[in-house]
Amino acid sequence: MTVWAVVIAFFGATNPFRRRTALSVPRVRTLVGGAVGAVTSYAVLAIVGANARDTLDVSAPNARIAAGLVLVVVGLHALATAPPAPMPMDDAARAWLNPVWFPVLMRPDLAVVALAAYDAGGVASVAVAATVAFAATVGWWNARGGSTVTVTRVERALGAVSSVALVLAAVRLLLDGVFAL
Amino acid sequence: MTRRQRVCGGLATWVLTFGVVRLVIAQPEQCGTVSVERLDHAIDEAVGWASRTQGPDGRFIYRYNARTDTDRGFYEFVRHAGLTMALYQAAGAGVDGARAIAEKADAYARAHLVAAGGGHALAPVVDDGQYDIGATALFLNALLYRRALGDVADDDMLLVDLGRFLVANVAPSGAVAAYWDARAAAPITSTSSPFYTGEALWAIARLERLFPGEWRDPALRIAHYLATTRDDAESRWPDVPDHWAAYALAEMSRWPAPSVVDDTLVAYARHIGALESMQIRYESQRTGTWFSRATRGQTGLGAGVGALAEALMSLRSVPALAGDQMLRRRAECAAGVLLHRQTSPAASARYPNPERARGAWIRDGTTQIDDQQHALSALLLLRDLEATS
Repeated sequence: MTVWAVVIAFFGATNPFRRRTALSVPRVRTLVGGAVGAVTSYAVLAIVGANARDTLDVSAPNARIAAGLVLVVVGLHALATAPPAPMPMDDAARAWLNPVWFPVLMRPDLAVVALAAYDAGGVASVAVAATVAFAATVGWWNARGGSTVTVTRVERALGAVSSVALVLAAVRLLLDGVFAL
Repeated sequence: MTRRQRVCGGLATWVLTFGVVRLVIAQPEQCGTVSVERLDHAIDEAVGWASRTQGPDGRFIYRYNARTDTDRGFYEFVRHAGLTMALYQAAGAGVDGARAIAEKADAYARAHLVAAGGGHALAPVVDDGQYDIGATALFLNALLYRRALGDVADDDMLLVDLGRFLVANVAPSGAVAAYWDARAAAPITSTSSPFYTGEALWAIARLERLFPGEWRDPALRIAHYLATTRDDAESRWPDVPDHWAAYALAEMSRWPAPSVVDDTLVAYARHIGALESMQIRYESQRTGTWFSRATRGQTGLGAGVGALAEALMSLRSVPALAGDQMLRRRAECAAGVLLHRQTSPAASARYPNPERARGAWIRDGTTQIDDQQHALSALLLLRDLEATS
């Protein structure tokens, strides 16, 4: 597993172009708060990843296989379905926590990747990958202006490209796990 | 959607994902613990099984049904020679009683040696005119271990003769015929075996270290054939996880400098290591429960798990892989699986003839001599490593 694989996995599974519609929050600060929380959470998972795998008797290659299989499903699901519906917030002050941090950015598929990333630089690669993915999510949310038909089509196309990249990276991750020593 | 619904839905996704991952994809790899004491005990038990199941003529029980206390009544020399070899390995490691059993099995095999291919071959028990190349290759390997004991009568001419028969079966491409046609006095070039090629290579590579010169070219031809051509040329898919080739590559790594283990052979060694690693990571998840059988299939044979460990241990002798601790961890895992699955004296009591079940690797009530052969060789290799590190 390489750092690039972790970055592509995080970017493709987060998929900023699909995720925007689910993030119906009024301020970018709310998004940033949730993103910082998510980066921290994934970093913690990466830190405990090796110990967790040892405790559960799962080798690093088998953890990569698990991550690859989960991400293949996530990528194909994203290709086959419409973007997620907006998640209205009940409490603007805590919207960074819910829905932004959980359940939009804290995802079980990415948690599996974080737990499996120990051999790919561990916490550093996960922190970088999560930062890139969530920065892109915040950036796209902030940059995206109107809802013209053209812009919506471009967004969907980019979302599809991200999902295809995720599937390809996931297959690579899967094979890397299968054929590891 | 309310906040409560969102949170519950999110949590359900986590539980579902991790539940499926744990139950189906990443089941625990149960490698057990390996210690010198446990290895010694298991080795003694395996040698004891060979002692208890050897007949007066030197043959062993071949395929034994422990539930009915019956033997299949079939015999052949590939596995006989293999177990003989493992017993000589045990004798070399100082295991009490192994030498005497091996000598008796050795004597039975020698009675079936015939002139063939410019040397000598091991003819089948019932000579039908087709000689297994693997039988001669493993018998030669057995005698090479016997020679290493140091106090045996001079067998060197026989070793060379057996080697010459093997070389007579090597094609210019490096392919090795699986059978020799005694009537035509020629290899049956249309035949091949997933394992005989590696067995022949290992024996020839060992001869080259002992008697340098004559064996170098055929060994290199076979090695490169295995590394670059065999799986495609012989339509083998998936690729053969060739533990015999692993032994051979380890042996060729010990040839005098300059090293013949070039980038191609190193890549092949790594490929074998990856295949064996994949298999033990999978095999160690099998427990024999109904759920494990449904999701992972039935447990592997003792021969299969033993061969995994043999390969992983052997590859540690290839310099480019020597520092890879993963190989050692996977080999220890395979040894742990073997230790766990060997029939203990207590477990053997549930069979009608406990003495024939004890010390064996029994699956679905049946064991075959190569289960004990591969497991014994593997445990000896691990024992050597654990004792010296």
